Amino acid sequence: MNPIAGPNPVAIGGFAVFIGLSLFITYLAARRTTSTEHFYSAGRSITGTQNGLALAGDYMSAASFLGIAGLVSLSGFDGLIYSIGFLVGWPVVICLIAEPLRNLGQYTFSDVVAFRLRQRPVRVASAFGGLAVVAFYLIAQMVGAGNLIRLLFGLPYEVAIVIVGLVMLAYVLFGGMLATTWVQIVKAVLLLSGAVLLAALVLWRFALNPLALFDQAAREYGAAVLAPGRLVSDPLDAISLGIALMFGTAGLPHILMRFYTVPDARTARVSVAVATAAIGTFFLLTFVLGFGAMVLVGQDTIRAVDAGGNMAALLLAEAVGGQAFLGFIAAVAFATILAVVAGLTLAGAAALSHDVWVNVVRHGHASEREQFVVARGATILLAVASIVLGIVFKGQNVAFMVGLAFAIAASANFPALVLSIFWRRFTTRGAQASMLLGTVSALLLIYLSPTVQVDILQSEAWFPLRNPGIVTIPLSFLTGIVVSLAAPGQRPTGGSPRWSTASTSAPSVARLPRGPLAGIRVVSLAQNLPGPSPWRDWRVKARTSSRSSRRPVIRWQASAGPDAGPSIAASSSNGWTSSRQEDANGWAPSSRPPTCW
Amino acid sequence: MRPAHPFAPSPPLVRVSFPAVDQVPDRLRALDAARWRIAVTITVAMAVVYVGFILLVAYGKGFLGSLIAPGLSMGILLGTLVILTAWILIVVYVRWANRV
Repeated sequence: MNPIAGPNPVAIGGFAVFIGLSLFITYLAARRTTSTEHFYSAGRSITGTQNGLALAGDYMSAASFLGIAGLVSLSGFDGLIYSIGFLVGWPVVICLIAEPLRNLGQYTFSDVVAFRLRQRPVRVASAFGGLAVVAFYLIAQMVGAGNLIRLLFGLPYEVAIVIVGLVMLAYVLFGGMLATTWVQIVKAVLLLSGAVLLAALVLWRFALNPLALFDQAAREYGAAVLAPGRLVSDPLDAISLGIALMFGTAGLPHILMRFYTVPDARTARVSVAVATAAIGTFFLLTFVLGFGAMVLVGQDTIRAVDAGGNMAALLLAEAVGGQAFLGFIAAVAFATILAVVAGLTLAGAAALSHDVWVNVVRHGHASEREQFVVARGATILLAVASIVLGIVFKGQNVAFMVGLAFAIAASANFPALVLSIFWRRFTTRGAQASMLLGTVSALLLIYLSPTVQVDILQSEAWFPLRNPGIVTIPLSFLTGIVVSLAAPGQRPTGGSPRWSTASTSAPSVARLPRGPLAGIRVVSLAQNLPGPSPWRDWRVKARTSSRSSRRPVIRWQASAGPDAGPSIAASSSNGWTSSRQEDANGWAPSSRPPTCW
Repeated sequence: MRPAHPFAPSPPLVRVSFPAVDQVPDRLRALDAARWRIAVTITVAMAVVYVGFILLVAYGKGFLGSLIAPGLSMGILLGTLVILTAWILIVVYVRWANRV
């Protein structure tokens, strides 16, 4: 077996083709990015299946492909804990989080938590947590990409990381979300077909019987590879990892953002179903890929190439399909990393520019041009940070690093998100405390864990568990609850946002009576009909009677104040308006808690 | 016309009447309650299945390591079933929510 060594013309050729192709897509998309809103959310013009594939593309990162295959190949069954954990968060996401979030019509996680609390303190805290998640996720992707480029092109690891950072910058700066949405779709399809092909080639050698493959692995490396315990030996660590993986999905900022890129709730649900189908298939294939690499490549070779095992899938591709196939899989893996990195950078840039700059520094009065400049500056800042950190964390397994990002997401974001959606008595201070303590405690415990202390600093670990989730998630929940109860004065009246499945009735039609838009026919989207909550909003489409080619889109915010009776503030633009807009103009939630929500 | 910035303040243009909260049909309230029940049921079902699996990984190593057939350990079988469960629960929910 001859592992990849030095530059490989076939692989480099495949690479050049793919990168050229994706930059071309980015260029095409860049011409359509016209406003800040477009930059973030692709103008809500994506269909359910497209969005589902993009979700899958966001989620099936280098961690899934390179990391899990590597973990399984080196430690057998325990790598599969990641495969399983990465998927089980999805039912929670769609049932408890996605629908209320989607209905609020906000862009980022902090928009949602801040929705009924005081804006600025919540925004600072949540931007902090979001950035910590994005940073760890980014590091993982950079480590994977650096290893890949180093092996394929024979470049030094550090140079490889810088190249990845620059290409990622080009993606985000020139295309925005629309580009990354399309890149994610292309990537998801490529990744799935690559994985299916690779798994098929592996199984071909075992008469298409995965059990024969597992049996061969057990015979060569002992039956222990089919049982837990080789990677996660401490039972508490296994539980901690399991909890972090399940609840982390719901707190990932770049996943949450995808629920706003489709026009309605029905489409959002379809996209989750499509995404989980793709992701589930993919994770089942990682069983085959991991054990295939273990048997056909050999653990010694995998470990010799990269201590974290991150190159197992690539070595397997070379073993079963030769150099040309290696080139294809390498291009797919690189695209995977690049696209996820771009999505993450965008989420991070959104947090920095939109949460911190516009709402905190500029108190909501920043021109569009200024926001654009800040968003781009934030992107560059994040790229530099991820390049530096990628070099520091060299040699870690990618899936493991993503497990840490999930732990931070589950500690910093998930409790505040759940409490703000479902608990009426949640307060601004509670949200602040929960998010800050969740982030800080998760970061601190990771710093004190064997990963940093033993692997990087070669010292003694202060905290025994590699994944902090079991401590930090309950801590964050508890903090949020205790602080909210201790400082109840901050509590706004009104219920928490929840939405109904009111998607049956016919669209309501109304004509706007006066004002500059008088006479415009307004049609409410069927899935956003009035529900029992005063937080409900109506998104309406308006058709102007003029022959304007740009049809303005109007969004309504219903308020059920006790004095004025039901009323709707609508404002028109060619994009959606934010609910804060109505907020700033006198829209207020009911002063009484709703009787039913 | 330049697109308005989503976060820039702009005045509400019109005020029109719309059904009040207490005029919302009972059917919609019932639907909301039903959605809520299903969402909680599915979340709890997923949590039970997954936490059970993780507890087995933590404390039932011998059981998960037992072989059912050559190459098929209990752990791999149950792991596959957990993935399938997650997917089935999502499909059940999406089909239900998009039908009503």
